[in-house]
Amino acid sequence: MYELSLFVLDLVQNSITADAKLIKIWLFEFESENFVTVTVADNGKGMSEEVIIKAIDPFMTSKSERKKKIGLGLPFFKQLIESCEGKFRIKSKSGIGTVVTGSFPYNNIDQPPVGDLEDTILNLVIANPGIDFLYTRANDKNKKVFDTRPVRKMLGNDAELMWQSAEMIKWFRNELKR
Amino acid sequence: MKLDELKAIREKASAKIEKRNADASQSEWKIVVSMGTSGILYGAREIIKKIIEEAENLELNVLVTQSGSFGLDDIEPVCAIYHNDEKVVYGKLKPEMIRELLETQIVNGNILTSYRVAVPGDVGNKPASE
Ligand SMILES: Nc1ncnc2c1ncn2[C@@H]1O[C@H](COP(=O)(O)OP(=O)(O)O)[C@@H](O)[C@H]1O
Ligand SMILES: [Mg+2]
Repeated sequence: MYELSLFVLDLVQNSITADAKLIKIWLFEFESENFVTVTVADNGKGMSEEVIIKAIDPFMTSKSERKKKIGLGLPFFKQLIESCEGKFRIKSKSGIGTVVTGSFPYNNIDQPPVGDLEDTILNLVIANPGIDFLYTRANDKNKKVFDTRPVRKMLGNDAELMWQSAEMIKWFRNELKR
Repeated sequence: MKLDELKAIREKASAKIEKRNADASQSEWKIVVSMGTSGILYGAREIIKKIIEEAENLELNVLVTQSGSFGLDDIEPVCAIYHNDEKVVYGKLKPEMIRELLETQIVNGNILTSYRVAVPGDVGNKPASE
């Protein structure tokens, strides 16, 4: 993958698959502090210690038997972050949720471009009417926050039915692409 | 966020929902895009974006959503189109074919055979006379 926003999408799909109802996404790019960090946090079903270990090292072997690989997304993200001289972290608790973070220096030369993260978030929000998203992006000059929770509250009981109406899609687009 | 704009949107949208609920002939369509790691690698993000855009342009009453991998890695990007109890799977999708797919399958109710993938549970498995 060649864009950070594609890795974010991949992490968010993990959260969706884990039945998260709230997914928080942060991207901080602080040149002044020489620091970039990207985080996806969810309140999905979480992972046991054993699953975390397997997920991060999918080709781990024990005795002569090769354990079944369970996925490539997390190892792929970890590898990207480490190739940017960064630090990958994962914290998860069964029944509580999961937080995945990658942090790396702003001035490293190996980081992929961010890509169109706003557009990625926009389509995630639209395509998941039952899930709330909190998206925060900040750098030295600007901070942007987008939160679907007050939106859902304003729309009331039929929020999910209205979510993909032409009017709502336009509203989401205006808010996120501003 | 311009939350005050949502009041007017809510009024408009709830009128539409009531109208839809009253019309029993309105059928339910759902499109699910496979968004696992391999799907993303093969361009599933651009596919779901295009489906959302074209569904809007064609004013379709369809739910567009995403899921983890369908397990059809060799024909990504993949989507499944559900209509009532039926399911048709399409693979090797490209953004430029999405309009034709939605027009053929949802507007006209025909299967776009050139991109259809026969998988278990897919109506595409039924004899062609179907
Ligand atoms: N946010 C999450 N919440 C709960 N479980 C997760 C989460 N992210 C990953 N997992 C677990 O780790 C496994 C490996 O994830 P990943 O490497 O992305 O591969 P894949 O998504 O293809 O299974 C998942 O199958 C799932 O069991
Ligand atoms: Mg994954």
